[in-house]
Amino acid sequence: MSGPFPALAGASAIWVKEIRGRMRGPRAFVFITFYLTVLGGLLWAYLRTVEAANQFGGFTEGLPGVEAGRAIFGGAVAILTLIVVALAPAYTTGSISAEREKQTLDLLVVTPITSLAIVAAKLMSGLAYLFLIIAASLPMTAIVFLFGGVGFEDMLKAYIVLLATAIGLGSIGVFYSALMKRTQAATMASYFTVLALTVGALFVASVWNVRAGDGRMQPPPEALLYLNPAIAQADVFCEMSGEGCVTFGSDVGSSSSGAESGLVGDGFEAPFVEEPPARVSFWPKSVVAWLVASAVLLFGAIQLISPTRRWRPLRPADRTPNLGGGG
Amino acid sequence: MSAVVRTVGLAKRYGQTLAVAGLDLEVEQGEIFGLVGPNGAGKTTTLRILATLLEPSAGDAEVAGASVRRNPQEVRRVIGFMPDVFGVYDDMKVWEYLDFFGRCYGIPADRRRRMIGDLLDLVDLGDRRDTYVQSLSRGMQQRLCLAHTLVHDPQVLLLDEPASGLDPRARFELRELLRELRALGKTILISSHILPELEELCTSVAIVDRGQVLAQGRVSEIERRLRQGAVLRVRVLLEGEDLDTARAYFEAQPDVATAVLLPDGTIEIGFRGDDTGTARLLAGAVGAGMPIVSFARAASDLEELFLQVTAPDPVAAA
Repeated sequence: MSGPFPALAGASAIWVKEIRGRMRGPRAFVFITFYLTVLGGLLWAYLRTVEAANQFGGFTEGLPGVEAGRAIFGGAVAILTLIVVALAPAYTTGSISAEREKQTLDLLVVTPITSLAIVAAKLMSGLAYLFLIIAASLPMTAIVFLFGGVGFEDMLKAYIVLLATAIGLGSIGVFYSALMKRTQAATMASYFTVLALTVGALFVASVWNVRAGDGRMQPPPEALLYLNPAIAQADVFCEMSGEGCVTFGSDVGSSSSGAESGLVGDGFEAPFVEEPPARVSFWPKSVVAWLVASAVLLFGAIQLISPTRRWRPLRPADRTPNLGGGG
Repeated sequence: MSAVVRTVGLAKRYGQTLAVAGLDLEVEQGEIFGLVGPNGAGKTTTLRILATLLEPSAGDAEVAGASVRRNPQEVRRVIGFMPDVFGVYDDMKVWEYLDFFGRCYGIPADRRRRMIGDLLDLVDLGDRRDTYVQSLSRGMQQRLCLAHTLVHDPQVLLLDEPASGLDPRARFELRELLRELRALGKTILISSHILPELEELCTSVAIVDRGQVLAQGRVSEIERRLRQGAVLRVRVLLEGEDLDTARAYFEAQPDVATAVLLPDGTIEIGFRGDDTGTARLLAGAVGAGMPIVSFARAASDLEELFLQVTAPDPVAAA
């Protein structure tokens, strides 16, 4: 039970159990096959649509390679982001509450596995299948390298944002799962939070500007959209192509052209500022914000499932008699 | 003999409710110790504190020298806990279930393989190794849950109502299994509502009510403390008035406190005398020509003791 990280000892037991359960039978493999087929079909359809639109717009020879590559990449990242947003909470939101419902949590907690190991293993085993889905899409998204216009570092950035988002959203699921007794309630709370972070944050950002609409553009605080995966991915796309850039009052960038990619969406014009003096990447802040949020949520989950030794400022040590034994 | 489980002034409060109120217990090595009490007496709370699933509001408890407050991780290594209500992972085979808990305790793979086989044989589930856990009967699941408490060869077993919901056959098998575990040197702390079972199984009991221990020790000791003398049950081959005459005869004998005619025709005698006096009483009755069918000292009756101790004024009764 020792090893290099004693606090995580035994986590592999939960990991193995969860993975074994999830990968048992044909269900998991059928889903991945179905997913890759749909993803491939969607990307192909997306490419054809962009091609058609460009032909209609004057590119009679079809879409240039660079544009095609970027279009496929943008489409693939958008689909993967949607999948992560939809599935990351789903795979973790029952991780602890289901143990409570099945009345197996006590059996687990009385083993020497620490609460930290339980929570970490629940998160990672819940996300493992999602990571598999993301990894399985890599060869498909790598097709963009044939077209050009997308560098390895662009893809790396997009996948870093995807992974950070998955960890963050998964942590939301684990937290609510530890907080609530019923999986159904935890699921609802998780998706409500996800909705608030995505659609809600965008809505607030736009309303923010409407309120300040006194003829002067006043952008919303940048932090409002830190946990919005669409904005972070738009920033990655922006750094690659100069399109779809999201800029804020404090760190607007020179690469912003004002053009919008499909990721950010039409009508979300409020955060854009013309003639920016310098540009600071948004996506690394988003990644850090997700990781910090994840750490806070996991700490909360650990406290919630720990039967003893919960963090508290003062312990009632004065009421503890000394039995004279070891320990 | 040393105390393997010890609680001192153990208390647990839920809001205004005091579930455990200064409980003092000592369980010695190798005992099967029964916690007896009515619903809400604090048995489950006590076991859950010992299992480190609850933090005491006051007092402390030690298991094999480790404090549940100061060193819960160490306590978890030396106990095997079976809760009163437990579930099973429904997507696992029997061997995987034990393998999972073996991994939780960091048991190396080769030892796990051996251990799984041994435990399945011990709980008589060897032929169910590849069966899915959810398809086992309730009794089998109970035995499997008991097996899971043994994967790390713990010193102390904490079993909360392990026989609840089992049919008589399964109860018998569980009882035999617990005896076998005691023979292996385990100290077993068990709570149950089925008192006759505890009486047969336990070496010592603690009668608990409203979070406090009302009586503790071997069943025979508690009985001796609570009862003045013994209870004798006599069956005579008489009916009607003759039966009442026989009752009156016994009542008139020396050292007999009471002689009561029970509805089934048995005469129950409250006797203050010793074994010689008992023999003399029997010889006298036979000499008086009484047709005696049976004459025996009433066996220890935990249920009776329990009712006596947990009566509205138990302190006075004790």
